[in-house]
Amino acid sequence: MKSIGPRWPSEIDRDVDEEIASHLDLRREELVANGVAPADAAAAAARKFGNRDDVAEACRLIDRKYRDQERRTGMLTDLRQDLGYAVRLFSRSPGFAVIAILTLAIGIGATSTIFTLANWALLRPLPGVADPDRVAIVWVGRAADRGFYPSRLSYPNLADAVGRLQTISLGAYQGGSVSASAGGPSDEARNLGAQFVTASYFDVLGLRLQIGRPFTSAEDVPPSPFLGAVISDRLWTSMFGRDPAVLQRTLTLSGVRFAVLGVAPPGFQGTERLSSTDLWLPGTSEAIVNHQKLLRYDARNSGGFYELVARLRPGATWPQAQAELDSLRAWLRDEYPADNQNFKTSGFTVMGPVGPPPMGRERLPKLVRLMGAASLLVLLIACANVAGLLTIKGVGRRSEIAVRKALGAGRWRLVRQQLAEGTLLWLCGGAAALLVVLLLRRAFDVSSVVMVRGLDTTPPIDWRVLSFTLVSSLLVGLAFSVLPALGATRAEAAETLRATTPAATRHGFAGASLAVFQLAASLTLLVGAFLLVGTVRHLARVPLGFDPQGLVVFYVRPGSIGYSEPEALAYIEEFQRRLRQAAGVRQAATMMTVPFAGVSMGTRIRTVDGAGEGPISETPVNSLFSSSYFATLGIPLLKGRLFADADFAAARRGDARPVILSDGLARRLFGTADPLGREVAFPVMGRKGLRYQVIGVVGTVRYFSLTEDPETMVYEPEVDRGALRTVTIVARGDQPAAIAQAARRIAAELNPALPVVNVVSMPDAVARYRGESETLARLLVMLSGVAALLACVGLYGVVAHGVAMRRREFGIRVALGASPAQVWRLVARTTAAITGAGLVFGLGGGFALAQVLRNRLIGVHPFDPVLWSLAAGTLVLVAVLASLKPARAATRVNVNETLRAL
Amino acid sequence: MDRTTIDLLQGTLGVLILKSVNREPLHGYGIARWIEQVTGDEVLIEDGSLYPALHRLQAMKLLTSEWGVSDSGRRVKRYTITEQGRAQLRAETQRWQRFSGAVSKALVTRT
Repeated sequence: MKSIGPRWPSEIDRDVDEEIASHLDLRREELVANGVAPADAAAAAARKFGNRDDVAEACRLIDRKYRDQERRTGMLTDLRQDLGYAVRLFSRSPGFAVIAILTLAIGIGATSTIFTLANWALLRPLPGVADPDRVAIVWVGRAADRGFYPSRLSYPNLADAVGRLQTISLGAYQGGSVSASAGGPSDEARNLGAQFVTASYFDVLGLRLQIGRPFTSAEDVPPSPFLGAVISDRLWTSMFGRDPAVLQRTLTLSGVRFAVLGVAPPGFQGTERLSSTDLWLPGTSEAIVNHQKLLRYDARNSGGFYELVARLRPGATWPQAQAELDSLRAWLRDEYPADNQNFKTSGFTVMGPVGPPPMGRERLPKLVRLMGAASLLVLLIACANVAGLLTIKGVGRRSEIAVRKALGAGRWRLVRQQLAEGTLLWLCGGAAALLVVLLLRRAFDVSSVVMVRGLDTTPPIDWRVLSFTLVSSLLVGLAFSVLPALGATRAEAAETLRATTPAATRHGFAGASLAVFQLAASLTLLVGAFLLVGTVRHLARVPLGFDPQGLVVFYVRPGSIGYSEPEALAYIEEFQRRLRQAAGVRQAATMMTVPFAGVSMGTRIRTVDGAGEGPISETPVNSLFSSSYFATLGIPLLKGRLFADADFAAARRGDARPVILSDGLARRLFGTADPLGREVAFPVMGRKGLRYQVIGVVGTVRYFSLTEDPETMVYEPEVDRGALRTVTIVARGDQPAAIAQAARRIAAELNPALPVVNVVSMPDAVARYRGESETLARLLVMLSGVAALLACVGLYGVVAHGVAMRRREFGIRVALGASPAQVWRLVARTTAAITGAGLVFGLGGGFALAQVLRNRLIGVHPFDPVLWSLAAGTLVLVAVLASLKPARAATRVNVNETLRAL
Repeated sequence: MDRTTIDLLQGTLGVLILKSVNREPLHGYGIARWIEQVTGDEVLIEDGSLYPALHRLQAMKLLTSEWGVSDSGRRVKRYTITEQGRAQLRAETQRWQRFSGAVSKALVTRT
């Protein structure tokens, strides 16, 4: 047999040397035979040969290169062979391959998506902030049961605070949004997130701008601060094309020209990972930008900031800082009792380190952890399942492997073949997972958890996470395939024929345990899925009090560019008029607050009789600009009448003050008595002591929550200039996209510097409030579906395997007269045992999951018998389906064959 | 040296080697002797230059080699021509004949 050639470097060297030595010997012998003296012959031979060392070296180099080449092509050929074999194997049983790839894709894809989300929302370091562990957000206000009542820290108070605090250095910021355009005021503007900050903000965060410099405190002086803006890296790209001379450019914000002072570090968008701020402006420019003539910087009891950033000074701790802030609050309250009244109830709260969104600080990590655990579980099951399937396939190929071994294939070669099959499956699964990630990105909407509107909470595709998941699942896959591969190749020829070897029984038991595990996990996830779907359905059926279908909501901010009150009113009227005429719009209305997509002012309303005060109730107020609000939203009128245009005119003149109450409010204030014509009083910003007349009662509408009791509401025609800053417009039509387009077009026509903002369709806005439940429900439905499928396939494999092992037994029984039904019962007994065990463990797991989910289940009892029965029933159905085919095969065992094999 | 030593191009050496083993496998020394004998000692090469050429031909898959035992009981490495080698030999022979024929024609032309 021809040799492959020398393999090791030392072998090559020896070879070459021997060859040359042999030549020299032969030459020498010939010379001697021709009469040369032996002593001279060796020298003559050497001379004739030439430089022996050079020759040897040349030959060695050639041989080594050749050998490396051969080895490489050899490996490639082997790999191609292995993969080709694997592909052929899978195309012979495509069902198996498809299921395996699909389950791997979903498992890897879901896990990747969730880890991407977790990284993006919770874990990644905040760009630009130096040493973020020592920086925290501090809120000014007071915490209450139903949320946080913010308060402001005025400029004089802030100055005092900075002077007195030893443990922390303080900066302040105030969020907002501005309409901005590059260049002139007539260029089309867009809405950007902005923060009005003190000069110390940049120092506290340790921000190093990539270009330029931030403004100094000397430049941030009211009433005319230096009009310079620090822009984000993202804005530098989108608005200025990364112009290196951006410091010479200007920006127009709400009609005011600002210079570009500097560019923030790449990726910095504010102090929260999910925030979207693009502009940092001097704090005292807020009055100019927002056209607020009432804003004051010298008063201790007005103006200021809601949020602070604090950096721990070296050697200090956060508890010390909180204690110092508490004593600061007491000082402010006592030192200026008249001006700092709010500090009787408000204080400072260290919210925690920069990064997480303040509102979702605790809920978001919990949600993500839950989602992550569920996905990992399914991924693990998927990997185990595919490995199990490969094992069973391996068992089925025992004879083939035995033959290949007999033909001389080394064991390593066979194992490598199996590994190639596993790797191919996992690679295909990983590639498909990419598709899954693309689809799932938008499905997991966490915006309701963080209670932020208009934010893009879809994380970008994180290639690091994806490749990490792929690589780690590949390693897991290899790990899971090695054992079956080794086991399969260990089979001795004789064993293939014998049915009940110890190895086979071990396989059987392992397979059965795996099936029990899969069934239990599926049932757990199914219980969770049914419970959450029940919650979502309950939330969807909650009566809203209005019809959300076909509604589109958006905002305009005429006050933000300095329109006076008559100008703003005229703008709104014109907008409404044009909108109503636009194609696809049936109705439109303008107001301050709209359900699920607005904010509102609160007030305390009381009845007024001649005889003094009546019941008092806290309620939000909705100021309307047009009489069509109720019709547009579909809110029913219960008593009295709605506002007419005349009412608006009268209210503006001050002649009359009509109000409409919601049903719940009317009952709370007047009980069963008729509210029409009665008087009420409620203070609203700047207006106190006014009386209003009730002219109508409308149906109760849910404004802010799907789970709490519906709110009450008092409606009034708008007369207050303050409300003109941001106006909500809602329109009803057949196609939300057409309405949105019309709105944008009209805004551009009327004034390009006033864009429409936060366009959202009402069903989407409502859905955001269901968002967390829906997200979780969606995930659990998907995962439980996958788990059930896996359990089905796994169980099928186990039962089929068991039947195959017991062929002889069945054959004998049939030969001895057993009926098909009896054979069926035998198979059913094993299946029932496995399913039973799965049910028991699954119910236990479901119990645990129900406890974990307890707080998220709304309108659904954690142990709702109907839902649990449905879940258990689904599992039983899965088990039955899995065992049908093998059971039938058992009854069809060929008796003659079995008898002959005895 | 009073014999004409013709400088051999590297490629030509390869052709000679292929021809030498065309009939039967030979070891390196045997190939050297064959070249000497067949060319009537007209062509003299340093023995040493033979071996890199042999190894190169093997790397190009025109030859294969294996260790064996010579008549005198010595371990020798014999080279055998492959199918590819035979094809190469045929091609090179044709090319050489055309080339030398052309040059001869040019040299005998009256100028």
